[in-house]
Amino acid sequence: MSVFHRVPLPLRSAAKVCAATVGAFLAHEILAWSLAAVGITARLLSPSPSAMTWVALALLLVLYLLRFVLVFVAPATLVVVVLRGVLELLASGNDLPEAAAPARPPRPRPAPPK
Amino acid sequence: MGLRSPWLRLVLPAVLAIVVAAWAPARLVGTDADATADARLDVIVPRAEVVAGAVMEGFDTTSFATGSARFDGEWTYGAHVMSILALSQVVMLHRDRADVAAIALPAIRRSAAALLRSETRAFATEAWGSDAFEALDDTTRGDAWLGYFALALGMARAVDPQFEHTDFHDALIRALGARVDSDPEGLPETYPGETYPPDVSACVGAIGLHARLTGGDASAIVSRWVARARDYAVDPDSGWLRQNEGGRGRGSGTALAVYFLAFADRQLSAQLFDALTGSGVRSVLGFAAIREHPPFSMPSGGDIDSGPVLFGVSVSATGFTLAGARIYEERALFRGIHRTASLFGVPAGGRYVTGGVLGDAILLAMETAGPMTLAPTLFAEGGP
Repeated sequence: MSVFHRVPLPLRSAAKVCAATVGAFLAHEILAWSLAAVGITARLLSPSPSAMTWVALALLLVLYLLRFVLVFVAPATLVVVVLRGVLELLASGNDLPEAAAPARPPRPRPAPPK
Repeated sequence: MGLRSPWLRLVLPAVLAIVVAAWAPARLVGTDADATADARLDVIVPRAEVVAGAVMEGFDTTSFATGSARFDGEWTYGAHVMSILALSQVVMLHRDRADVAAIALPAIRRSAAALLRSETRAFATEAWGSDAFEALDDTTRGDAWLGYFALALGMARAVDPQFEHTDFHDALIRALGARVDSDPEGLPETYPGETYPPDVSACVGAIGLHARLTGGDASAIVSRWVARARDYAVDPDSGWLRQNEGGRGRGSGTALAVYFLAFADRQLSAQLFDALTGSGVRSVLGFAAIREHPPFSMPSGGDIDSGPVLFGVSVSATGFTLAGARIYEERALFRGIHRTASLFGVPAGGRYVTGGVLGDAILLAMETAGPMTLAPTLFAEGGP
């Protein structure tokens, strides 16, 4: 079992959402700086759309999608996931004495028949 | 109520999600709104470098591809005009900074030179059938498109100690003054058969600016024009400026006229700004935008002036209103629009991803508006 799988499930979910948000942010920044560098507006303004126009438009739509998710969806999602993780942990903390009770020693296995 | 209570596990996160969803977006986008409104160097200089860099690198009609030769020409012309306005304002806001002047002045001179070249005004020459510069004394022509050029030259003259076009600027202002004054409605044409009050407001702004630069008195011509503008250019239903002669008020033209007229007549400029923001502002989650058409008017799509219109608000009206918000010190509105511009423009390294040469110059000009206008910001910043 990996170290990650030893982490309680609620915290694992929060970590995954955090990682996805960081990934989306990095992708957003790389895309934004790249599109700014190539001057996407000039490529979008075309009376006769070429393949390059559609590529530019698609990249811009991806950028907007990432941007809207990061601005409008990610903050609330992060807060909820972290809050639910904390609540789950606290709730499972109530069961700790039971969970932490020493395990019974395993019964001796019956000897195999001779 | 235990920790496993459904109220705690479902309702609390849901409430918190709603609160965060409403609160967070405005704190994540356009966080440099106040620094921009205050023209802080660390925010403004990178943007000035981008605008100046584009001018120095060079652009012309082949840099645009609207599908119309006239619009390509207008955009090239507009990009040079807005670059001069933006960079001049940046210099004025930081008069004590030689490094800022060193970035801006070469680009201002280059754009002024570009505007004087015949190919930059070929779009108007084609429309009129002859060159406007060779017919400055002809008051039967309108050429209201020259107002933008005259205003830009005025701002260049205000900041550039080596300004070389004084005589031409004076002649241009004389010609525009005669045309504005001689037209019965105060609305000289931009092109034959086409009259646009926002273009004329640029002429009037240029006349007011020129008078203040030269110590002249333009109050008579400006007040005569303002009286006629109230009758013919302002839409009585909305209080917004008509986009074309006899047309309805439009957000993009009104917002631009607020900026131009602030150079000549603060009262009409402020009146238009109040009318526009009184019924034209749409605000959601801290993001503000401006309607292209007054409320209760017939819905209409966008055009080359407004840009895309979405849910009734337009790119141009929203962007141009930044100038009025800064001039009239409406900081909350400035923040809201700046956030919207950042959300859709996507800033990256001093430029906007969707801005381009023209968009970057317009946004910088609108967000640094104030110096040399007759609005309160002028006095807050120490005057011209």
